[in-house]
Amino acid sequence: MQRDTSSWLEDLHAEGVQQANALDDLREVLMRILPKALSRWLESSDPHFDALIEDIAQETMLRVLERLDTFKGNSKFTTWVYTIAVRIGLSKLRLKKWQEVSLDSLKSGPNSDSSPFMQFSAPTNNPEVSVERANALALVMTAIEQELTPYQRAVMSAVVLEGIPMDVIAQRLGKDRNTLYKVIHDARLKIKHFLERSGHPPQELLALFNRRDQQMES
Amino acid sequence: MLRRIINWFNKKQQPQPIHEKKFASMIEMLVKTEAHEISCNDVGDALAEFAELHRRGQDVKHLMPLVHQHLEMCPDCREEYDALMAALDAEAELYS
Repeated sequence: MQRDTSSWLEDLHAEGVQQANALDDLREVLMRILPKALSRWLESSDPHFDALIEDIAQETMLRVLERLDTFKGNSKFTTWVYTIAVRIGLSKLRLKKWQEVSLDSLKSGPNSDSSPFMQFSAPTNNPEVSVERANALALVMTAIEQELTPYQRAVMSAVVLEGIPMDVIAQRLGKDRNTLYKVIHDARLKIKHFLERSGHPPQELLALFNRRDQQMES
Repeated sequence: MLRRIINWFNKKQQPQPIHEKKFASMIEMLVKTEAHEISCNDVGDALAEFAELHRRGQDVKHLMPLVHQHLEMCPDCREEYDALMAALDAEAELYS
């Protein structure tokens, strides 16, 4: 990689052969960096590996050219490019991984009568601790049922509790990720304020879990 | 078929269990929730600078607290940050 930030910018802003050569070099950099950057999510043995890496590199170069004037120079140019590349890459991989999974419950929202998580799957053996934790869970579930809209409940449950990527939910619902983040942020704030009003702020509930775990382990 | 219908009915009637660790993680998110938080796009714009500062050993939690807080809240952005750090590791290995 011979260029520094200023020469990348100069060559990519140019026209003709100068820009074409810079794009060739940028593609080469991406084709070498992306497999390592995405190795946690995309194995080299994947039958679509080469096509995906090429696809991500091409889309990244297009996006970089479109947004070249927005580069503020707060980092190296290549670091900025990698930021764009990993977002494009992970977004594609998330959608590919979840494409077969139905998320119909998100569209209709959960049943308003439902109490999605009213017990622990593997509660502690200590009866006193078990009761305290069950009370904490019941309190949070009350907050979720009373304070959140069905839409907030569905999105919060899918992202925070079921671990479904926001990219996937955003694509299925025709929203963008910023909007979903805001939905979850508002939901978190509502629950937090409910707990504070009830006299049991989240810090107190968390201490209940952490402190007891440490005692049990020691 | 009958068994499947019974299983479906039982599943609908019974509350889903949740693991204590997952619930504790959710409570931890509530503890760290702030009235003002920045969006995923804002974080995307600042992530390159944040990553370079972090790699230079700077105290990013205090230099860029809103980005740091968002990365603790947002699993999608956190994954992208991890991938970016892996990209910078690869760059150092390939081009230094």
